Amino acid sequence: MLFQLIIGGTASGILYSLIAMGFSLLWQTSQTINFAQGDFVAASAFIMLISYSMFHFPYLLSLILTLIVAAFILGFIFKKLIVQRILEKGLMSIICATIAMSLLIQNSIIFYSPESQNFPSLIREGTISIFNANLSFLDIFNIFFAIIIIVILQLFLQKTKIGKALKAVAQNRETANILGIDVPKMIMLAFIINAVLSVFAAILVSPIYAAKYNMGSALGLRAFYAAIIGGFNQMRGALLGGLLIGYIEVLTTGYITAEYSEAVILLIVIAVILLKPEGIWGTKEIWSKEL
Amino acid sequence: MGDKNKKYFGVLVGIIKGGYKMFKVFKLLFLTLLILTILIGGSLLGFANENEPVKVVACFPQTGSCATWGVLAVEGVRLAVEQINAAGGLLGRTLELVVLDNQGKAAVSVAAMKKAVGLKPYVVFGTNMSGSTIINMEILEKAGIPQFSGSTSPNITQQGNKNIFMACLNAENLANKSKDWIVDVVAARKLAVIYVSDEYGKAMRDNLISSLSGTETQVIEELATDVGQTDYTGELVRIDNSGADTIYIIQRCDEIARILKQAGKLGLTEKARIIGTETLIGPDTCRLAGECAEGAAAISDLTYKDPSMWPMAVAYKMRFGEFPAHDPIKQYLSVMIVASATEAIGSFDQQGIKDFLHNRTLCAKDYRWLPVDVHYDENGILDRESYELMVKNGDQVVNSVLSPVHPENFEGCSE
Amino acid sequence: MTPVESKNRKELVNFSTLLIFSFFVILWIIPYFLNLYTVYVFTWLLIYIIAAYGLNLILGYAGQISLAQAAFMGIGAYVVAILTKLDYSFWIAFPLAGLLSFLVGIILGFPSLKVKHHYLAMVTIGFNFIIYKILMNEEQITGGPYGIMNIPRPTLGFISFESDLSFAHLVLIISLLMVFLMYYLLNTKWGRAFKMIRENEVRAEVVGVDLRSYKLVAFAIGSAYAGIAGGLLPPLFGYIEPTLFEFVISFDFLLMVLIGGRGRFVGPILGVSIVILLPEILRITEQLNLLIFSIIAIIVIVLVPEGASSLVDIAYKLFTGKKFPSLTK
Repeated sequence: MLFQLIIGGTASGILYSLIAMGFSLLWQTSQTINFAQGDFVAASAFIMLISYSMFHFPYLLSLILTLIVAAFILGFIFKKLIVQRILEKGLMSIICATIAMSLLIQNSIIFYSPESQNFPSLIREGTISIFNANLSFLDIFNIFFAIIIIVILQLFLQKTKIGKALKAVAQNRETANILGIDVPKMIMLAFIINAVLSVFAAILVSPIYAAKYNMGSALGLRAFYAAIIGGFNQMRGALLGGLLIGYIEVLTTGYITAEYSEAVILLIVIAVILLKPEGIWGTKEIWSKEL
Repeated sequence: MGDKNKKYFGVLVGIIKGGYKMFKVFKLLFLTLLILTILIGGSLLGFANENEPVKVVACFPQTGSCATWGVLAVEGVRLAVEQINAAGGLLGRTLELVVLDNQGKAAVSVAAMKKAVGLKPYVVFGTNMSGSTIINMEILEKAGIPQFSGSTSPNITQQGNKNIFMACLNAENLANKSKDWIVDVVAARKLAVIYVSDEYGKAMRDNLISSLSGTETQVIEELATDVGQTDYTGELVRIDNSGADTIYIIQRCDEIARILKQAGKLGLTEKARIIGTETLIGPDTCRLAGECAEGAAAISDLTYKDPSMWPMAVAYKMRFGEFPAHDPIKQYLSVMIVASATEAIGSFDQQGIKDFLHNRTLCAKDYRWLPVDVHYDENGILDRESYELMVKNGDQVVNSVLSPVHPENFEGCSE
Repeated sequence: MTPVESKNRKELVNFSTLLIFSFFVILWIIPYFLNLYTVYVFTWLLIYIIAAYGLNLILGYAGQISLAQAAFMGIGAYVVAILTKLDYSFWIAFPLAGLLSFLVGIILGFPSLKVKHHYLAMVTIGFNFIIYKILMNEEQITGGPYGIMNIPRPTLGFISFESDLSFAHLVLIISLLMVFLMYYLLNTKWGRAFKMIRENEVRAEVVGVDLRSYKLVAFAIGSAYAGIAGGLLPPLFGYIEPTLFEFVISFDFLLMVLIGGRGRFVGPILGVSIVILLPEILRITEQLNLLIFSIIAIIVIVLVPEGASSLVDIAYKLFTGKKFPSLTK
């Protein structure tokens, strides 16, 4: 049973990591806490559905279209119209604006359909049996695909010039500015990367969970927990956090209690906050800006 | 003038002076108040007129996490109203449907119901969540407006409210009906129950457990899950490990599909028999869970596969694009019950239809609008036959028909 | 303050008294003109305004995030519900609700105020979740998802608050008392300390303000306000159940305080009115009501980040050419 749970935890955990990494990127570069992060995933899923199911475009074309539309709306427009204007006003305004955005996205999707929708899967259904555990092809595929995306992202950040510039902005905006990096451009890049990550998370998550207007709420919350536990200000923190949340979730339910499993996660989150606020793999934050 | 008087006079002058200076601020505030009053008054007045059409109100969640079934419930009411109007209306008058959103929140449902009372409708359909219903049924009782609730919680009809009627069998009756089936037909010996921890799930679970106590079916595992939960790996692995031969699923519509798919992933659908409540075998489950739903079975009091409901199902599919699930069917049925009662007594008499429906069996053959036989007792509890439904080849199939809780009431219907 | 400023302020205070008195009279009379629906909305607004004032204190004046207002409302509500069902008087249960919320606020605040902003948000979200779970699961005490039914309206001697109208008046008196209390609080040295903390924590510390205690007290008082507001819900509905206190309601409060204008004294009144009345007014749009509401909310937050009370500032400046003086010094 343990092996089964670990695999299950990894499969869901790595998806939380994807979402948490985008979340963390936004925070690091622009101190934006995006309460609508999960809803970005939902929005991406439905953009995909509109082009695939409604217009009947082939999968690859739909994916490319979704990436473009998401990058534009969830990345560009989000940053320019909303975040940019209220960034100076402080964290609270951003939190409130993203809460309102979450409402907006959910209610727009309800307008399209309040029911769950089937989502196309890249992999056929089926399971294989290893060590007495049933592993579905979908889970295995998701794990590999997510790892590939994470690796690509890390390579981008470490090896390419733009990536390194982005990383610099993420670590310290003032220094990056002094070094001559175009900070606003990098921040915009961060938002676009976040949108892209949301799309990939959407195509991996939706085949399992079905696409529904409120799928984002639970996912976004998990990503938030993940970022906090793992470390808000390091990408590796988000990765670790997501996996940890996945494991805690399945192990608590499997061995202890199903009813209070959410509460256990929360207690651990709270404990981490009180004992090591920067997260397990995070670094201490220097507060240059008040609320 | 004494010093004291001077002081008071000075204060008075100060106030008046200040008042004059602040007159402009006062003007602004006064204007705002005026606008607010107009807005509120306007929206009130807009509904105060008495029109020719007969108003009926549907109060269900149109937004929020419960919108999935709330929107479907309204569709059921809407279809019925449209059909009646298309045939010339009820007693010659058209029905006008007013939809009020309660956002799935109890506080908002109170606002909605109080607003509904101001609209002076003939009947109110809703709410289906027992928490909201218990709060707001008193409001409708005081106003004398008959209420039809699709909730399954038995404690609604235990409050002594003679104004409310259920739209479907309650959890207690369903559990009793299912008991024999679970013990004898399904022959479950080790049962695992996975239920959603809201009032629907808990009511069903409580009644299931108490109905199974003392039988050969042993409940070996009980797991509560959250509304809107996405990942069930932990729960399913635990059930797998417990060696259950049957799994009873009590969930709202989409969570079922997720559970079934994830159970399929783990190979659980091969190992154990999957049974549950009516949400398990709905058309949306078949659509979403695909072959993972194969073989799932449930006892339900309404199905679109009943030949008498089939015309409604086809009409619903043409109007809304897919076959009706339990929620729209039960709302459709309650509209038709109202129509039948109204035609029977010949006028829009609110107390009249309440008296008519209490302790009455309505046979489909006697009423042109009524598709199936139903019976109400003096507390508004609905009784009718139920069905053993199964998913076969991706479609809902009726395996057998079970008698109503009190079949003696229905003897007059089969002539 | 200069003599001119002092004179302006005196005039404002004099006029404010007149205004407040006339407002009180108007507010008292309004319920008589309202029907079943609008009396309910009126009472609902007032109760939420109390809780919003609490959050405004925590957020707007002491600069701390709390996303647990709904949980504290839940605590207050269940205290009143359980005690009144056990035949204790409402007038005993009600203050106890506030007291318990205050104490829980202190207990929760004690460790949490070491951490900052988004972490504190997490802790309060977590707290809300846990309280909600307890309310849902501990059926023996809280009735679980079925809640607690048949809660009577309070009586005071020979006056019964059974009717909607009289209960609305009772809630009106209580909410006005709470608002005056807040006004008084903010105009003492406590209030000044809170404002200093909000502006710049480091400077406040240098001046000698004991950050920890003040933040803690602000948090506790704000939570107590929520508890008191919650205590009024059982008699309003006659029935309470856990979904009234889900954590999404805490988000609603955050929205209310921000849209109204945080740290502004009239902020909560404006914010609650907008967030509750707007969806009610938008009912005519049926399914689109929350969609339109969220669009309006985003526009308001982005274009007027200081909240609706800044519009009052602008209007005042337009009419009188002077800056609207702060009501809390």
